[in-house]
Amino acid sequence: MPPSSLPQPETRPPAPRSPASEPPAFGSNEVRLSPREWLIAAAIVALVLLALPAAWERLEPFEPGPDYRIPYRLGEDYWLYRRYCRRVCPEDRTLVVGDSVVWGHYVSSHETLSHYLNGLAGGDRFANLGLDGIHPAALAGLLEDYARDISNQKVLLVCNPLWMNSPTHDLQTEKSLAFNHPRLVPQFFPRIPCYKEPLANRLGVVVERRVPLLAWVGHLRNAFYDNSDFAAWLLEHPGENPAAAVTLELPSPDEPPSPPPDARPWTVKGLKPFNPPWVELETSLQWRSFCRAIEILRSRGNRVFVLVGPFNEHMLEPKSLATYRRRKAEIGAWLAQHRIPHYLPAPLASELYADASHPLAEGYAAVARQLWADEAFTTFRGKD
Amino acid sequence: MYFQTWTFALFFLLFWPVYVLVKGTRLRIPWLLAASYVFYGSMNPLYPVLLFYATTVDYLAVTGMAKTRAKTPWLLLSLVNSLGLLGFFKYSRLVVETVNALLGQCGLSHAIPVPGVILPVGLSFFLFQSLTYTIGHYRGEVQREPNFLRYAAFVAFFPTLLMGPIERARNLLAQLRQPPAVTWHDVADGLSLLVVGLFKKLLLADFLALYVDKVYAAPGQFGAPALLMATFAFAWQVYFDFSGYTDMARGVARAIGIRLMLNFNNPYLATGLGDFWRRWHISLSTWFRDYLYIPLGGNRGSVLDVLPPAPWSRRPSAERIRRAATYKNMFVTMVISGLWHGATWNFALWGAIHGLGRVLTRRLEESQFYRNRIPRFVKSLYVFLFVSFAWIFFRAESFGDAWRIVVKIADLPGMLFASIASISAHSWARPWQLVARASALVSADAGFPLVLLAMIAAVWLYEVVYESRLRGILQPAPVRVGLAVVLVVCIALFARSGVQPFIYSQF
Repeated sequence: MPPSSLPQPETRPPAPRSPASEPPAFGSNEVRLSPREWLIAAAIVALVLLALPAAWERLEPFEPGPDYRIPYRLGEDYWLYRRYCRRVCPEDRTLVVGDSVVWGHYVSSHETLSHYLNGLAGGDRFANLGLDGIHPAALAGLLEDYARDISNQKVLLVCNPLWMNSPTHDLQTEKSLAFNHPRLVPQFFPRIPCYKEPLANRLGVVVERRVPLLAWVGHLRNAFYDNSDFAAWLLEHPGENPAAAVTLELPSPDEPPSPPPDARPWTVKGLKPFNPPWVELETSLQWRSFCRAIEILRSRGNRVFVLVGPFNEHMLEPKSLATYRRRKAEIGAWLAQHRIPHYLPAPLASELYADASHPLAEGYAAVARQLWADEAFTTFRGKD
Repeated sequence: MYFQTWTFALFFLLFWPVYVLVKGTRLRIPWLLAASYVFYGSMNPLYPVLLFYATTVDYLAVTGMAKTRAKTPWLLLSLVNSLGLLGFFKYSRLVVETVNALLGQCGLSHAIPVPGVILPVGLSFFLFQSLTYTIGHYRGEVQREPNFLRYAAFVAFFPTLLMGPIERARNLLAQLRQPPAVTWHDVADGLSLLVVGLFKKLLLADFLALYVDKVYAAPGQFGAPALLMATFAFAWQVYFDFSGYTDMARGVARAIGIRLMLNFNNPYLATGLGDFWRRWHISLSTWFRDYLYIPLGGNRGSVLDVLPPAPWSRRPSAERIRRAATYKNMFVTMVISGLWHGATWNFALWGAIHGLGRVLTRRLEESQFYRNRIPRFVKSLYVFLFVSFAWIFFRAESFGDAWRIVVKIADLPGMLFASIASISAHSWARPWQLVARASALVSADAGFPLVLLAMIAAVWLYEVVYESRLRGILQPAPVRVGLAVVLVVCIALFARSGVQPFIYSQF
């Protein structure tokens, strides 16, 4: 510190000679560019950053089969979701959009709703665009920013009432709450009371949604770096070459969730009936978000059919069941009022559910049959 | 609000165009001041109150000095106020804990309640910056600033507010008096500095922090190689972290037409401890030199040191007295500068280690033998090893942890010797095998990412070339543009998510 800075004869002021009195040096290890050079650098950077994701699509094999679904491990890989949308939309299939009920949390990709609908249709007419854990607040964000290719399509949108069964599921609690897909929910408006992310991170999310490169970086992290930061991966794999981790092989859509789900009926698993309070539709953030999701889809020329449920009513205590049925009726009334074709399936047999909202394989087959027989759905799918 | 955040990007995008529009008008200073207070208030809404208070007292002190011949009481007012604020917010906890410990040693059960005071970010920096005005005016080096808003903008200047550089009134305040000419070259220069700073922070410091934090959080769970690597890694982390911040601060200031002083000058290429402190945190080093070391007597010693010799001792020569006083001044200054960094005795010890190092090596470093005969690489290595050793006390959570780390690292040579001794006699003929064996042992146990090692080596090499006669190879436009592109692309692709705080923001 000071001692070292002293020229030998230095004593007291009044003639201080500190660096502050001299013109400050520009830098000690700088990379100094002129305005023109910065323009060139910016152009190169823009080119590289725009070209990288596009080039990657050519490099990384991606051949989604008829029953393809986004692999569980890549559930937050919105770049891949966008890529899947882009791939599937020109095929003129009905896109089945929703949360893990659509994705098929307890079943393989060959036992999902879209699979059984394909079976009934006698061909690959339905595509599984479900995403695990995508509650309506996140779904609206997903459709808005990562599913722009879904336009002028037929969309079967599944509404899972589970997300409105309590203020916690409805994201209405003031206490900070960790929930799925925080990078998809509205960062500022409407305000989500339990979302306490700092301003800087929220702004970062807003930027990420608009810059394809950042979503692509997220894809690399999700697909090849254990869903972690590059730095954290390096720490976990100190002697490894990070480039070698990029195998270009995406996980299988049948890779089971982690931890593996117990695919037995809820009654066998020992789950007990519960008594959720259900929030009012008028005040429900998730319901408003679901309505927004419909609006986004329709504004892009899509034809939307809404499937409400199939919720496991057997798992509700009587008081809660009565409230649920009122809500379900209100949802139906709202959809009818807005002339949105929809179907409210009757509850499946109790043993066809794995939990409060997810059917087992046979349950999906049953729902598909019910839906297939529905007049409104027939009209919806018949307008090919 | 840190420079590497999107919040700051938004803030600056709103601030800069208006600043450029009003820079030639009377609105320039109010706009800069308002922006600085918003910037500081974003950290905590109460911080600006403290900033305003400290600014007002120092401004009134200088106004008082200007109106009377008796300047000293006004200077004392400023010093007592500033050091009092520092004492209250930064050191009250340390003092109370120390007193409680002493009371406990004396067998007294009474304990003073430990104050739960939060240290406002940047307090140590802006108070020291403000003192350069009051002390400077007292010494006749700085004119009184008639415009309170301009003075407030000097103290609150947002690029330097949180972590410096600690600017002098005669440099920064003087620049604020003139409407700046913000040219495209200023903007380009600012961007150049900003990008390098972002790279240092987001790609180097934040990456190293993951390793260092893991090891230093539980040093008992790691072996000597990991502790050694974490110590070396911290040496680089703290450099990248703080110099990265400084680069960004200087870049932001440059983009609004203000030149800030250089704060780091490739410190790990220093060839001596004295040289190191000429290159590390220059704004603080020179502050302590100008406002503490020299008033203590500097290289000339002081009256206090010229004490009568003991009757039984030979009377020392004037030169010896002068040298002893210089060493004492050095040591005291280093200990105080250590305490400036943080209110724990670890920081004082860190300062004391550097002070002792300076005292012991000063004459050696000044000798012709050292300057001319010792290879530069060896000198830099010795400085790096010494500084890294001192960083242990700076980084460790407690003195106990620091000591445990030192003891464990001291075992390393024995481990390496045992490992090397097991190599067959045939292999001794090939020294590279011994080196490889030792390196493999250290790296296997340390678990330090090789990619990080390569990145540090690349930066070190860049600095070596920058300071050498080969510097010319870094100058052609294609090389600089290529480097800038690589830096930006790497930041975009590999930066850690989330905002990691700066090490020096806690001081």
